[in-house]
Amino acid sequence: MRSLNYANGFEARTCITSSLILTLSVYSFRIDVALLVIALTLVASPRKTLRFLSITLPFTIPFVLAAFLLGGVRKIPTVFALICVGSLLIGIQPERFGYALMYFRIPPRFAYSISIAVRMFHVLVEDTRRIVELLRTEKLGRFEFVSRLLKSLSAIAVLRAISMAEVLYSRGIDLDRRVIVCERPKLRDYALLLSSISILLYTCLTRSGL
Amino acid sequence: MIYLDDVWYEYPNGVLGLKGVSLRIEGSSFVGGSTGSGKSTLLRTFNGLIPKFYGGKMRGTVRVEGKVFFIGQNAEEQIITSRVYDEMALPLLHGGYGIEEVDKRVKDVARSCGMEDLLEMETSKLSDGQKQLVVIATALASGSDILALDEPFANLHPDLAKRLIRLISKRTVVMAEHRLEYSEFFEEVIWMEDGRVSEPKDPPELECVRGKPGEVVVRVKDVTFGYDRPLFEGLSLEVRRGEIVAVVGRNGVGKTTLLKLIAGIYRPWDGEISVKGRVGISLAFPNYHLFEKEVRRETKMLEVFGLESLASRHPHSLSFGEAKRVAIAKAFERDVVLLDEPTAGQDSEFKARLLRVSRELGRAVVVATHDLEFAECCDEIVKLR
Repeated sequence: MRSLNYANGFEARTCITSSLILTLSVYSFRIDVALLVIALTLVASPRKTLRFLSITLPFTIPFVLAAFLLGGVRKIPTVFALICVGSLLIGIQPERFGYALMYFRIPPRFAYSISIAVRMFHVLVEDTRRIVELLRTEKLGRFEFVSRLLKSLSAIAVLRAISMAEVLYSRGIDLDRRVIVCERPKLRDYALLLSSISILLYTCLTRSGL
Repeated sequence: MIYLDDVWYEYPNGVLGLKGVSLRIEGSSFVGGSTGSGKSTLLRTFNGLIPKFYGGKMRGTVRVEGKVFFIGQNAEEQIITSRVYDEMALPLLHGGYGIEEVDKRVKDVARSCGMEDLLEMETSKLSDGQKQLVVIATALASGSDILALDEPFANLHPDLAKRLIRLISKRTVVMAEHRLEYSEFFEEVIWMEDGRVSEPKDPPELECVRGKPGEVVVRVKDVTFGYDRPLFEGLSLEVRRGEIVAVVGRNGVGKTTLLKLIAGIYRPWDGEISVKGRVGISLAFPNYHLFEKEVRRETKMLEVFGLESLASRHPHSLSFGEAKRVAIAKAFERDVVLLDEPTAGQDSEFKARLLRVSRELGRAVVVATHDLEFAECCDEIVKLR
């Protein structure tokens, strides 16, 4: 296995492994661990983490309010830590994600399915943006705007799925073929992995009172 | 080598796509014919998309020696990965090539296509023309024995298209295209008509109908705009009622962006844009504009554009060319019409109708195009650099 010429960012296998390790740590529901995880992700990829946190605000704000009103304030850092861990995975290119899954011996068809689904999500986000741009030029009422957006988007989603299948077929992409192409881990990848392992060890050792 | 003997094909909806086609293709072949003549259907039989993927009934013999790489009409739908490099590498990786070989091939092809600067780009950030270029480069890099290309140059600047044709015509390639000027680069010309192979015909010359421009309805004054860097600075343009203005220029120069600025989708960094009346826009990917259950509910302009036969069809069951026509007809319901590559996938008959309708309805039309023949028939040509 050798590397292809990939763009900047953490290597996919490192991201997946670190995310799993950090998620395990976060599920100790300890504030200190959650804060450590948040700090690590902010240091590792500050822009991406902050962006993901801002995107998820419509969900986190009601949660925080509910936690204050109904109890569970101590869970708040845990939720934010999980979102930060998610941001490590969000930025991975879908293809790299698929290759990394295959490296971990996940069946190729399953890995491709996940990779294609993630890719389709990106495509549909782009489609949504373009349809919204077009609909804004038409001065529609709110109801009609949403109705037209949903109609367009559902039709486009079906078309995209069909065309993706057609292209995969046309290019002879064998979904049962294991293709492993991964980037060589860099120093920052090792640093992320070691930091994640350290947090897990800290969680386990301090919990067991050692 | 591709060999077809008495091939008949009926689509699942009962439409006969091919009617007894017999062919033998070796080397490079150009497939001409009007819209709906069966060019795309023919190409799809080469790699089994028809009938395996599309269904329907097929009889006759199709024998293909070698692996076929098929490119459809709509570049937007042909890209499957998120980065240009990965797009070009994917078929090679699945073809069993080693990493060094993949890397070398991808870079060699990118160099020969003049697109090295695109390799690291995200595919979603590419212009329509750049997407088409990436798809063709992927085909070239793929190592496939046969290339089947369905109007691959509709969104490309003619100079770039000719450069790519020189590259592909050295292989076994079958290319369906409306622009006959490209046929001279191919060893053989196949002409399709109503699902059959027929004698090559010269299409009617595009008749340029001149209009009588009225008041100014679109005024672009000293506009500066760009994305990461300015695309144009101090751009000025006026479009009058009843006038057709063609915007031309190489790929990625900002033709579509200019249309979006006039439509009000983007706001200029500097300068002013004023538009009198309602704006109708038709982008290169027509399906963004179609959302009803039947074509007749999309637009009242079907008759004007001769699209009555599509009235009862679902808009998303249409071919790329047909969907484009409907999207264009829909844009013509407005006073100011902005069309992005309206002649892509269209025969000369439709181009002539488009010019005629624009004149008859007296719309102010701005067309972003690479079709220089069509641009010549417009009242003004704005060349972006």
